[in-house]
Amino acid sequence: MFYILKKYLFMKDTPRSLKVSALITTLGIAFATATLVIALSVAAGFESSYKRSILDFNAHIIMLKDGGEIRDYQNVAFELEQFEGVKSALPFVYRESMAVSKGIVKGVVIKGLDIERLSKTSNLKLEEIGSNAPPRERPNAIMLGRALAEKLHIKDPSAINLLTGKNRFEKVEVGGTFESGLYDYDSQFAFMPMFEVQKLFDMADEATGVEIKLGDPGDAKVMADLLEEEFPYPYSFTTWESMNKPIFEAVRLEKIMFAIIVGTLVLVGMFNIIGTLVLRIIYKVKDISTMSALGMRRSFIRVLFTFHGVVLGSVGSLLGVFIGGFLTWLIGSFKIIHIEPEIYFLSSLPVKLEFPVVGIIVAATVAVSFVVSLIASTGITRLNLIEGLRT
Amino acid sequence: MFRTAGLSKKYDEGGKSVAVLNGLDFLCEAGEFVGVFGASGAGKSTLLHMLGGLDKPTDGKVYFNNENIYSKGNKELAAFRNKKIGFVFQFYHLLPEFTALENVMLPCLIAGISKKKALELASEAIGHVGMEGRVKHRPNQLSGGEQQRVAVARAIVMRPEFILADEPTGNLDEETGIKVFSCLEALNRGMKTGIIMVTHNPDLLKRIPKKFELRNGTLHAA
Repeated sequence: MFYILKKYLFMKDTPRSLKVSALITTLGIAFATATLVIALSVAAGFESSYKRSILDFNAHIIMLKDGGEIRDYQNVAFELEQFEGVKSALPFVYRESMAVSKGIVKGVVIKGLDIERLSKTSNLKLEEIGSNAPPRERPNAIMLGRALAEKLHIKDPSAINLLTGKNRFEKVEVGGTFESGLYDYDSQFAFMPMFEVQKLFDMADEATGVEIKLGDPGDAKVMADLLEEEFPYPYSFTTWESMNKPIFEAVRLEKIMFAIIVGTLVLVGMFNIIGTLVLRIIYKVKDISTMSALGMRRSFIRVLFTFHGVVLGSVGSLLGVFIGGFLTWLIGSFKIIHIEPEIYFLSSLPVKLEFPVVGIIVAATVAVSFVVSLIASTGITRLNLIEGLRT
Repeated sequence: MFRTAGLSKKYDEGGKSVAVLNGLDFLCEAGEFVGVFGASGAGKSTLLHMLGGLDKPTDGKVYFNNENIYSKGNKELAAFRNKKIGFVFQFYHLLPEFTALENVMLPCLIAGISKKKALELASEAIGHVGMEGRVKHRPNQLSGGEQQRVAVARAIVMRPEFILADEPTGNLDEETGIKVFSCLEALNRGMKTGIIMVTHNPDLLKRIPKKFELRNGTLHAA
């Protein structure tokens, strides 16, 4: 029977109109599938970029103390690091300030922590000003977000004036820049050694909180629960997921909307299979009658046409995945689409081709093409085969 | 053996019931060669389609070897057409995508016979009609007579008990028509295949031993 299926699939005598109809159907499915692949890759790209940048810049869990700063932060950090699954625990302080350079004034959030340890425990890109080399060790220097440094027109090793806790500007040497990938962070934040921030802002030897990095960020929720049991109130633990819930919710919603809207396009493309198959059935009514007279069951004749529909759907879908995959690769590799970083926090359109998603798209399109082909081939059971034999 | 009892067929034409066959009784023994003739629209093709299990009668029964074929389910009826009956049509009805040999193999493949065995059976059948030299040709590369001979080979490839031939020479010139008819005659004599043939050709009718005229919905011996 497979021999008949194969033979019937590649009909050589198909009239041009049917070939064109099949081609249009296949291309329609291919373009719709390609659009779906690209749309979901862009959504996944945003999700992945945000996630990566957030995880690079922020801790996986932040420990805070209700009603004040943590005094014995070194001990607390040490105890935290004894926990299995905790990679590092880094005390920090936060202060808001103003930075002035070359007549430009910018608001800046200064995060005080152990920069050396930060560079070891995170994937943040730290660079010397004016070069791609890692920054030289300067104990009192400030590390500016790359976008912030650009805003302050800092291109060479230099110093900036920083508004301190004494309400006066103090000169601080710029040690380098960091890049998290998220414009929002890179344009607002600066790192300094913790003791230096405490000194500049007249703070006691206290920490605002402790940043905890885990072996696996996916364990953040479980670990936070465990740590909460070990360090009860007034301590509290917040995971990176709950801190950034709105952004991930927005991306998730974007993904669902893409899937619904572009998925509908694919569905419309799929329904073209019905038209193509109905045309083919009408054209082949004589052959269908003959096959029936030769003893072929109508159910198998339906299989012949359903198979054809499934092949159209599958070829269209695979072609679409190929086109979509190629364009996604092109966008991702050559960063050909630039976006506004002040709006999207990223400078180029991020893409990420997720193979499980591609697999689901292919499986779903094949399944839908099977269903619509089955619907179309029901026409065969209503055909008047006798008429087909009289002509 | 074919037998019909009170076979009737009515069609609905614009809300009006038109009777084509009207209580037709008919008997054809195994190995017999029977000719059926009659005016256009008398119901000759309808009779053949009903005998072949393609068109359900409005009333009456069709017995094949004493079994009412319309008491069978669709699956069994399809198997009956595949194994017990061979059809030959006026317009050949070869599938254009398949070569002559593949067209003849088709009933075997439908029956689930392996491709190798089907090839063997089809080659043998095609030899019976003298088309060995044209096996790789597709229908549009064959003349009308050649196409009909391939159709005859297709009808006999499963060694059916009966061939139902609906005006098999109606679309052929006289000489080619005689060749095809001779082919059927030879199969009837050599393989003892029963043949029920509808024809308008009086010369061919003369050569058929048992003839019926279909008139007013019933068969009349001629």
